[in-house]
Amino acid sequence: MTGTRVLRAVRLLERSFLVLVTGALVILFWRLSPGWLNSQTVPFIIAQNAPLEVLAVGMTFSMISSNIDLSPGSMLSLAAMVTGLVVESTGSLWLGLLTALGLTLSVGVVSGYLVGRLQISAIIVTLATYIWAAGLATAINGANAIPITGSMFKYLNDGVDGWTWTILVVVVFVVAGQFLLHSTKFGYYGRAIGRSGEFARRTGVPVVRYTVYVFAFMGLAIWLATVLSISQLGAAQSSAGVGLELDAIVAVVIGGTRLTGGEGSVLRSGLGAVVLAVLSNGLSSLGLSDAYYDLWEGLALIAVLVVSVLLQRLVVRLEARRQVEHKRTSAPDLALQAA
Amino acid sequence: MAVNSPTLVGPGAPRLGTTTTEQAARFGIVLIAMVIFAVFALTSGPFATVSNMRNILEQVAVIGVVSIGETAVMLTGGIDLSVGSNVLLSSVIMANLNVNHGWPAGLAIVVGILAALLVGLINGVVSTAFGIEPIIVTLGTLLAAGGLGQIWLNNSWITLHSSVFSDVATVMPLGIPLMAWIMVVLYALGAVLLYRTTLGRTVYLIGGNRSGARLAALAVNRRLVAVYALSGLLAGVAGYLDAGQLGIISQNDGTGLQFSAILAVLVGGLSVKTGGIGRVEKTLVGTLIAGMIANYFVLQGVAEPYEQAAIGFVILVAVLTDHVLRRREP
Repeated sequence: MTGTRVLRAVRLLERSFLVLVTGALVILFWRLSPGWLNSQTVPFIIAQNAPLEVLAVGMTFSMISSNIDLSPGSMLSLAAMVTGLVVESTGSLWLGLLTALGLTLSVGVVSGYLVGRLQISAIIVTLATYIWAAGLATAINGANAIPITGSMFKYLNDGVDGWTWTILVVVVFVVAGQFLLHSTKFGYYGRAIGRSGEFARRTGVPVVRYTVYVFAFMGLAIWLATVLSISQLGAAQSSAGVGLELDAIVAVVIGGTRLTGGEGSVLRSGLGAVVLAVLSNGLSSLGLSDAYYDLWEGLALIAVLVVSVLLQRLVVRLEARRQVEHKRTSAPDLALQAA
Repeated sequence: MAVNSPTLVGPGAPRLGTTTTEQAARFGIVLIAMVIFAVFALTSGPFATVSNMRNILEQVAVIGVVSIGETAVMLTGGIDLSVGSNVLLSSVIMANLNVNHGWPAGLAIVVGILAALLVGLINGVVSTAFGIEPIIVTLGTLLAAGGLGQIWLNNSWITLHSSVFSDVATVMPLGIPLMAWIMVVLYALGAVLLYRTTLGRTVYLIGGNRSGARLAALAVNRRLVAVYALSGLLAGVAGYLDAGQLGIISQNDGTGLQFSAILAVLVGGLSVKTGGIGRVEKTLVGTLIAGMIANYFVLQGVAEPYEQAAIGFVILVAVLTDHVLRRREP
């Protein structure tokens, strides 16, 4: 009986690990810099990291289908600069945003085709995009920002007590992502491809088409993140997305989705992004530079992974032991029956 | 993929390629390098001069050395993203110990290289012991090592004075900078290691068929740790060369270097699809091609972002060529 109780406790610990980490971080920073935590902190942190949270949703689908995507950061910068150029030359914000959407979706479709149809490693295809898109984004306007304003952006940054429309957009996107992942064919096939592409193909999953869908969905997420980034900065910046792809991957991995594919949760990825957001915001409230954020982000990534792997192994071992005990206790009954 | 078994047992398989595509796959990259060289020499006056060749060799040395380790790692089917930060970290440690703490240059360099080795060991141990994908673990060490290097730089830079550092760029045996010699020697050692030792053969086996290597009772995990440690060690050596070449250590040293190394490995024709196929001397050719392109763009006055955009497309072309060549293989 005690074995069952231990198992239940470890399982609970495994499941709530991320929430505990978030809580521990919040308490740590609250103790270290007393003025940090107030009624504005929570909405501010969520709104400030809106592009990251949106990208983490797309990245969950990428990684759950075993197709890691390194391009979102560079593509965000490029899409922002393209929006800026179109807005500058035509004066129409909507046309600019549409062009950007066309760009991110078409790059996603091409990448998906290269990965799904030609079987080229997703890491390599998206690494190439990561490099050329960053180059183009910087080249497009000589690394100068292009100011973009519009009534839509005012709405996005408007709200009550810091709870802006941006936050609503993020929450809706995360919830929609969770629904897509767990309640639709798209999510089901994506997970099947991640578990084993070959197996999925043999059981009749249109692997190529759904791989393209996964990359296109990432394109959509990149576009939405671009819109939120422009609204935050009031301008298109060629460095807007630098490093975001790595942050998004870290957020998804901390959220429990692994590159081996198959399992994961969009909500947990969102929580992973919040962990990074708290870390970043807390460290800067202590007056520490980005370098410290990098250091702790890297260490946190490895530590969280190691601990969660150890917890998983513990659960497996406890379950196996319980089964052995179960057999042992039920064995005499069988012996009696046989007699 | 069973048809690939001749290549799977190792690159030294004595079977000579018979079909044109096999020949192309074997020597194509050298040919491409020669064509690029010829085109650049014809279209740019200062390109094919002795001093510019010397420049190119000096410019590619750091990436070249890092690419040896990256080749070994990618042959096993893994990837090492941490090398860029590792170069920064090791050179910061060297410079810090030597300049700010008065350590003798030689000792400082050894400690810096050992630190890089340690990062590589962490990559190998964490990824094998806990079964975490190398790209994720090395992403973690990329962030952590880079952060640590920048913290120790303290938003500033360190100027080196010791000749032990600057010698790698200024001493020129036979008219070629010492750092280029070091790179060439390391490539020779890398070739011996990959083609003539148990570790090297195991690397190919792990990449070609990991579960097969396990079934053959090979110590897969221990070999993998060795490969990641080697990659770290070479990043440390590259950190020394980088410090010597620049004479100043600053925040952005090594940034994105991992992608240049991966690029060199891919242009060199390492198969990203099947693993276990690729040769380290081709990586050297890949490094030289990337070096020539970068150098040519500078000579032609092309802005750096355009150069970056072009390199991104070069990767795509290289990978697609790889795909076409390998699909035609009998």
